Amino acid sequence: MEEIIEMAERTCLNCGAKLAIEARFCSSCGLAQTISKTDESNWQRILIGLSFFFGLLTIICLVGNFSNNKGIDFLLLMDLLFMVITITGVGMSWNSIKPFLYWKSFKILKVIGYSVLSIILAIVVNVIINWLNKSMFGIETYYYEAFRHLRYAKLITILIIAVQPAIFEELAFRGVIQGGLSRIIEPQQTIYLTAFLFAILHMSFLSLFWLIPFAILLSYLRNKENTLWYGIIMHFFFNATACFLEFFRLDVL
Amino acid sequence: MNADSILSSARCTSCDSPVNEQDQFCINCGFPLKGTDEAQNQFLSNKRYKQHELKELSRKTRNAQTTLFVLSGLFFVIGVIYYFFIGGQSDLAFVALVTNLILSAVFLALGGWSKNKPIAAIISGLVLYIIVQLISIVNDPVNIGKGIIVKIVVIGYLVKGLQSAMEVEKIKKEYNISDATIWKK
Repeated sequence: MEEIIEMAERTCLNCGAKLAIEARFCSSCGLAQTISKTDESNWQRILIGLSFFFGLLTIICLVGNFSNNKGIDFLLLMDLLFMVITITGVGMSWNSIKPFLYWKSFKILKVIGYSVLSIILAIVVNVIINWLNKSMFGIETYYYEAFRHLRYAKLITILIIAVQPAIFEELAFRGVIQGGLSRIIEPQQTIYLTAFLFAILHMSFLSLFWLIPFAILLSYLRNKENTLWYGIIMHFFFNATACFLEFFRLDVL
Repeated sequence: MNADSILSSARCTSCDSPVNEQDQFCINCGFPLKGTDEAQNQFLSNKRYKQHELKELSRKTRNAQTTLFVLSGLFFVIGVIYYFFIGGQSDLAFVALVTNLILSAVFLALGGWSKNKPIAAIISGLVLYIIVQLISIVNDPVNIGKGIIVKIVVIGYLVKGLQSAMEVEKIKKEYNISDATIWKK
């Protein structure tokens, strides 16, 4: 076992004098030994930028959700706009996103573990939602119906329902939004806030019961594992499982 | 830790925490222990000013908290009134009732959360409220005008509360306090 030697002393950020570990201010020069670094002076600018970014995404989701046009062209257009806005946001906050595009905490066991977890969660959620839909509204909705008439319909469904959201929703929320928020708010609040914003953008009251916990999990993992990749993989397996369950129910497997 | 500090009864004039004889500044609050009278008075009056500022900001943040609770009540009342008296208990009105009840519950939760984590709660409340308004406008553009004054007031209180909460965080970081107890005196 490695022996961890605890530093009994710190040095002042300004004058270099030795300080006790619990010192909030330097005993020699009086400088505040700040607990954490934040961009406080900039927070208005960052918050406005994030609001703008989130606002654009909101408009896309509102239009997509409430428009009468449910054709596949329209769907793809909304998806495209979402991707474009996300990429722009990523570009503008590149410095805070880049570190999370690495995967220093990669372990094959973790990949398998988190993937299996997502698949299990997806099955549970899908069964519950399906039951709720049938018993409360007497309807069943399927994403697949929008693509059924196409060649390679199942592949396209997976691409649009699983791959695209996995990549771009993660970039937008756990990437841009959570990254931006963590510059101005402490980590715990950013997890809950990002999760809440992600959940309400899906515009479904019924789904809130699983959207919020799932989002909290993804946001928490982004911080814990310091990467966006586990979130992307989990999100992919979650959505893909839902797709496969649909295929199974519709008998097109 | 040397033997002196255990025996010494020296305490900081500003925050009353124990201090070492040889320290120039209090390690808990930064008070200039060995500074001139002028320097010490300057520190104390600055501290009083900041305490006052914190109080003001906390008041604004509390207004935002109250707004969240008020919104919770409003959605509840509106939902109930609409269902029983205006919508005539139709199916559509039932959906509206459920929606309003859920919103009421969410704003209640946000109000409670804002006691602990004001920034996250107020942002969430603001975003949720704006999205709800946007949806009602999309449904029927006439809705922009309905209760516009209430909407502006609500958003105003929430935004002011958010600004204040962020300022409070900023001051806390600046003066390196994790809670307000550093200035118990």
